[in-house]
Amino acid sequence: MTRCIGLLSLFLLVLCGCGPGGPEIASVKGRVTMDDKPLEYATVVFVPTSGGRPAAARTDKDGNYVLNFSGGRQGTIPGMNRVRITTLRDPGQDDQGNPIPGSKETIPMEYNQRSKLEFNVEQGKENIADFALKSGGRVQSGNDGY
Amino acid sequence: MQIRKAKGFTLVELLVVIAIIGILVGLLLPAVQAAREAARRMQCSNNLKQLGLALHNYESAFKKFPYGHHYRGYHGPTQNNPSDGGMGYGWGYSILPYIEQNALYSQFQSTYVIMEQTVTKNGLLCQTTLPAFSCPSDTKPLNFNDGAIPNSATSSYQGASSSYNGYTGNAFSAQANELRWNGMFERNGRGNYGLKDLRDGTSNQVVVCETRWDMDNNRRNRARIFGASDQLTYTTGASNALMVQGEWPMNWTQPEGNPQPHRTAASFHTGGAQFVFGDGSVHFLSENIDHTSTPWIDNAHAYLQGDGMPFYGTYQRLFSVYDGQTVNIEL
Repeated sequence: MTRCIGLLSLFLLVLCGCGPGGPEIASVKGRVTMDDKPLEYATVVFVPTSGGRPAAARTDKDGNYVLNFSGGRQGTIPGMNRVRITTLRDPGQDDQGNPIPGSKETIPMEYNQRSKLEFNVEQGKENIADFALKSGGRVQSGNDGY
Repeated sequence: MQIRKAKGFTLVELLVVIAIIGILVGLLLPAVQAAREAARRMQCSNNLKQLGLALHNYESAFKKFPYGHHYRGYHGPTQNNPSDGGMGYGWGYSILPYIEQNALYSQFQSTYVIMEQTVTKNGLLCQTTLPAFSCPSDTKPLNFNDGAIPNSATSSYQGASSSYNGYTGNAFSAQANELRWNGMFERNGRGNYGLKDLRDGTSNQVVVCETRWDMDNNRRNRARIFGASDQLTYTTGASNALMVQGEWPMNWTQPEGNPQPHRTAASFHTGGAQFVFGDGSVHFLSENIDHTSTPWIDNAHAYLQGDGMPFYGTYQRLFSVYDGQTVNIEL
């Protein structure tokens, strides 16, 4: 009996080594629109105000995104996150191999370089973060994609 | 009374022994694979160390580190216009004599652009593979053909360029702003740094980063050893073959949304990547390092974030030579 308990505890000890690495995160997804139209292929960056790695994603054709963290995990560090949205990108492909054209910056600075967008990511729940942007603000120029 | 003679093992004893052996083997097998990866990582860190030493030797000789990429300068029809194409040579070419590749170095005819193939052998020499530039964990091919850099030898290592993303314009002086293009390596329009210019301290300065293959679906992660030029007389758009920048989080791939995966430090070592620092040391940095992905606004906001924005992150502080911020990191 003692041997069984010994073996069991050894087994559990081994299991302790398994599990995802890195900090605790909470999943976030949502939709980005510009003047009520879906914003495709925009980069959404969540920067935790408490410090740590930012999480980011690219919106699809319908403006939907799911935040990616490191190591193949999805989500971001819980707490207040400053959100930046940019369309500056090099040409590439999506995960299905469809071409994504390169783009200059089209997002006004108030959602981007000088973003005031904030989102409080709550731990232990599926966070939905939708952003409805309005065009018309000043757009930062001078950064090309190359 | 009958005394039981122990002639062998009971079934329970056998089962217990087998179970214990099973657990031990189960522990060992992953450990063996981890040991292989640890060995590859160690060899990679040795490569990086050699590159760090070579850069220091270069600095001792010239009092400056080499430029990151000879992007613009006088190489056009008139030979007189600084905004014409550059020679395309990168920092990897410059340090060849310091990694015992004198023979290779002297075969390049540096009065011609690096991809020249009709008069000189330059273009062919660019196909020479060098193990010192290959991380054993990197799955890259030894040579790869893509528009800007035909069939040239691939690299796992790139210079650290700036904490901000991107390059602006094609003019010779377009990258001259040292706040914006604030890293150790830059295009030749900015001017090169020596050890004394790494004012945040050489041990707080990232100099060479790891990159890896398959950062993106169409393999535009195109690190190259010697240099890059699109056309024979006109260099455009291939600085990302030689330098990466610190704006995007480490190991963030294009399928995960990275708009510029070929400008992002990455590796196949689990959980981060290795970096050469300005003092010649090599460190593994976690991909979860503090980072704010701060975009460039203007000179007044360099290294600062107003409006309650998260402060300029640790990762970017390691890229910029003078941000004046302290770095708290356990290496």
